[in-house]
Amino acid sequence: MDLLGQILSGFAVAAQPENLLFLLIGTLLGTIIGLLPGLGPVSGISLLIPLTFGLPPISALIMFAGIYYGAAYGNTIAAVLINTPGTASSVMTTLDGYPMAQKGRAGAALVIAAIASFVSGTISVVALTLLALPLTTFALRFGPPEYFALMVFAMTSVAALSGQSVAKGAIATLLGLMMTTIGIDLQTGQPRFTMGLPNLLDGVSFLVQVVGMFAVAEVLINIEKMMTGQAKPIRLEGPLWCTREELRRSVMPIARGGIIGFFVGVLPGTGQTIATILSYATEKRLSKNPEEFGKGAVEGLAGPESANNAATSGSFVPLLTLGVPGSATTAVLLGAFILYGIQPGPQLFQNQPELVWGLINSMYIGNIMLLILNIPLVGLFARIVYLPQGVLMALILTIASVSIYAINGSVFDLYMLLVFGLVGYAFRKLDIPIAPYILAVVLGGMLEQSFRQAITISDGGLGIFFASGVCVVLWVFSALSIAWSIVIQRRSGTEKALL
Amino acid sequence: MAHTGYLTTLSTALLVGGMIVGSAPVLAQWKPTRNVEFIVPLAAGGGTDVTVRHLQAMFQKHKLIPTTMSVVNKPGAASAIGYAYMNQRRGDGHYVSIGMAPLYINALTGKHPLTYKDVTLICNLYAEYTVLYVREASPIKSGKDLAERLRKDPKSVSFGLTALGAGHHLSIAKLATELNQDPRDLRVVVFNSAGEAATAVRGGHIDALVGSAAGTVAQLQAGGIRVLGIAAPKRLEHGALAEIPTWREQGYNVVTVNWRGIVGPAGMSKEQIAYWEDTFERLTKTPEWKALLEKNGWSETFQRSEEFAQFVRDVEAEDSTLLRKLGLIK
Repeated sequence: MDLLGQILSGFAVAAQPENLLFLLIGTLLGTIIGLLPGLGPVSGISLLIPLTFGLPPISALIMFAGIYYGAAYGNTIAAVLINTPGTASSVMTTLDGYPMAQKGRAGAALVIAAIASFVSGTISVVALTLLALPLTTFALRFGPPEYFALMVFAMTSVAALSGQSVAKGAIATLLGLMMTTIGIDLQTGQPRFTMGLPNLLDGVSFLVQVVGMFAVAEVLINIEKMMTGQAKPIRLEGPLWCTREELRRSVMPIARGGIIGFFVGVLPGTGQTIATILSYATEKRLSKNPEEFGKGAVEGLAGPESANNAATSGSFVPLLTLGVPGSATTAVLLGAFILYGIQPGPQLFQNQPELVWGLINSMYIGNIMLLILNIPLVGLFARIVYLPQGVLMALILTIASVSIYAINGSVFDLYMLLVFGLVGYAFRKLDIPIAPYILAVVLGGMLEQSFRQAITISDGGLGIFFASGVCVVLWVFSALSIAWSIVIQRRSGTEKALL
Repeated sequence: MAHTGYLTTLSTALLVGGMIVGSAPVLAQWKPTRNVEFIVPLAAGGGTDVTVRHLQAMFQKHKLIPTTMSVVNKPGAASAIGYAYMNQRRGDGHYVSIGMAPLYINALTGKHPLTYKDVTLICNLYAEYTVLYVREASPIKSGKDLAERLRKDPKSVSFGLTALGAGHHLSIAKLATELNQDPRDLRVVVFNSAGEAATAVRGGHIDALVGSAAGTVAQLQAGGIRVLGIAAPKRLEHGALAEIPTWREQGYNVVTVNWRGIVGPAGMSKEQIAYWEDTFERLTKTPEWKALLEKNGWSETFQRSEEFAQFVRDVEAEDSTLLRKLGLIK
C-alpha cells in the first residue's frame, strides 16, 4: 500500500466510533488534568495504563495521546486565569496571558490560546505526517556539546525577558542558576548544598518554585492591595471573545511559533520549554511595540501557545521512529507501547501502518474536539477572574496547595511553596523580573550537565564545542541574538536603565 | 437501603469466613482488613512505577487480596523518603513497598542512613539485568572487542548511563576489574534520562550505553543498535534479549542484577510476612505476570523472606567492594 493510502486508512481507524469515544475521554481528561497544576499528564497516563488492559492497543494509545495534548489546553486556562503554570512549557503563557486577563481580556486570551493551539496542533501533525522519518536524523545530531550550545542560545533570550533593567534580569538569572545546583550532582553522584536535608537531595521541585513565585506571590500582592485599598475590581473590557484586531495580530506569531515549536520539540529533553522561550523572544524582537510585552501583548501569548502545542507533536518523532522518549510524558507512552507489544521504530511505519497513522490522524480529530470543548467553556472560565477578590485569592491558594501536595504527597513541598511565595513577593516588590529566574531554573541543570558531559567526552578539550556544524550555527545564533538585544536597547534609549 | 447494606456486609462476612475455613494455610492467619497501600518510592510514570500499577491491576483482577489496594508515590532522596514514610506505620501489614538497591547503596555512599535492616524484607520478585549496546555503525563489534579496547586503554570508550554507583555503572566497573583495570579510569558520562543517553549513543556522541533490559528491548526492535552483552548469570529464556550473549559466555565474569523485591515497614509479624509471601507467590503464577516479565526482558527471582535477606546481604557485600574501588564510598 502506498503512503497516501496508508495515511487515509489511518483516518478510517481514528474515525471508528469506539476510537472516537476514547479520544473524547482522553481530551476531556487531559483538559481537566491540565487545569490542576500538580496533576500532569505523566501521572494521569500512568494511573490509567493498568485500567486499559483488554482494550485494543490503538484505542488506549489514542486516549493517552489525547490526554497529553489535551493537558496543554488545560494548562493554558490555569496560566491565564490564575497565573499558575502547571508545566515549564506554560510559563511563557503567563507572561502576557495573565496581564491580558487582568486587563479584562481573559475571554480573548483563552480564545486566542485555543485557536493558536488548534492551528499549530493541526499544522504540526501535518509536519509529523510528512517529516517524521527525515527528522529522526536531525534529533540525533544533538549530543552534549550541541545541547550546551542550544542552552546558551536559549539563555540569550534572557535579555528579552528582563524588562527594563538588564542588571535586575542578570540578578534573577544568576539566582535561578544557583538554585539548580542544589541536590545530587549527576556527574559525581554527590549531594550539593542540601544542608543535610534528605528532601533536598533531588533538588528544589520546579513546580513548587513556579507555583510559589507566580500564584502564591500574586495572592500576597493582592492581599496587600486590598489592605491598602488599591485593589480595583476587574471589569470585562470589550467583547468576551477576541476582537478582529487581536486575531489579526496573532496570525504571524502562531505561524512562527508553530514552526519553532515543531522543530525544537523534536529534541529530547527540554525541547518543549525551549520552544516556548524562543518563540516568546522572537515575537518580542519582531514586535514594533516590545514595551507592551509582559503587559498583555496578544503576540506574547499566541506565539508560545502555538509553539507549545507544535512541540507536543514534535516530541512524537523520536518516540515513534526511534523508541526514544523525549519527555517524561512520552516516556510513559513508550512504556505503554512496550506493554501492548508494539515496538516503535522505522519499521513500525511499515509493519503497523494502521496503528501509526491511526494514532497520528486521531490527533487531527482530537484538536478539533479540544477546540469545540474549549471555546464554549471560555465564557464560563473567564468569569472566574471577575469573582470577588477575597473569594478568588482563597481559591488560588487552595488550588496551588492541593496540587503541589498531590505531586509527591509531601508536606515539605508545602513549606517550600510558602517560602517561594515570599521569594516571589520580594521579587515583585523589588521589581526583579521572575521570568529570567524561571528560565534559568529550567535550563540551568542541562546547561551545566551538558557542558560537563561534553568535557568528559573530549577529555577536557574545548574544541568539542566547535566541532560540529550544529554547534557553529547555534553559536552564530547566540551572537546574533545578543547583538540584536543591544541594538534594540540602544534604539529605545534605555541604556540609562542598565542600573 | 440500610437493610441491603447490612445484608451485603453479612454475606461478605460469611463468604470471607467460608474462605478462611475452606483454605486455611498453616501460617496465614493474618490478612488485610482494610485498603492496602502500595508505596512507590519513585515518581509516577517511571518504569518501576508502571510495574507496580500493573501489579495492582493483577491483584484486583485475580482477587489476590480480600481488600482494595492503592498505589501511592512518595519519591525523593534516592527512594529514602518513600521507605521512611512506610516505616511510620511500624508493624502494620497494610503497607508494602518495592525494595531496590538504594536500600543499601544510599547508606554506603552517604546519601541516607536508611537500609534494608530498617525495613521488613518480604520476598524477592524479579531481576532486570544490565545490557550494553553500541550503535550499528560503531567499530566495536562484540563484547570481546570492547573488552580488548578497555584492556589496552580504559579511557578509549565513552559510556553513557543514568546514575553513578547504580547497577548499570557497577556492571562496567566489574568488567574493568575483570580486565585488571582501575574502574575509576572509565570514561563515564551521566545523563538525566535514558532517552537522552540513547539519543547520544545513536548519534555517535558517545560510544556505548549501559542500560536497562526493558529500555533496550524497544531500542533493539527499532533497529540501528548492536547489543554487545547482558550481565545475566545465564541467557534469558524468552523475549527479544534471548539472543544476546551473556558476559560470562564471552569469558568475563560480569553479573549485575537490578533486583526488585517486596518490603514492608519494620516490625511486621511472622503471620503478616507469611501472608504476603504467599500472596506474591500466587501473583507470580498469573499469566499477566509472566507476560509482563517476557515483554520487559526480566527474570523471575521469587524468593521467600529468609532467602531474600541472604540474597540482599550477598549483593550488598559484592557491590560495596565495587563501590569502594570506584571511590564512591568515603
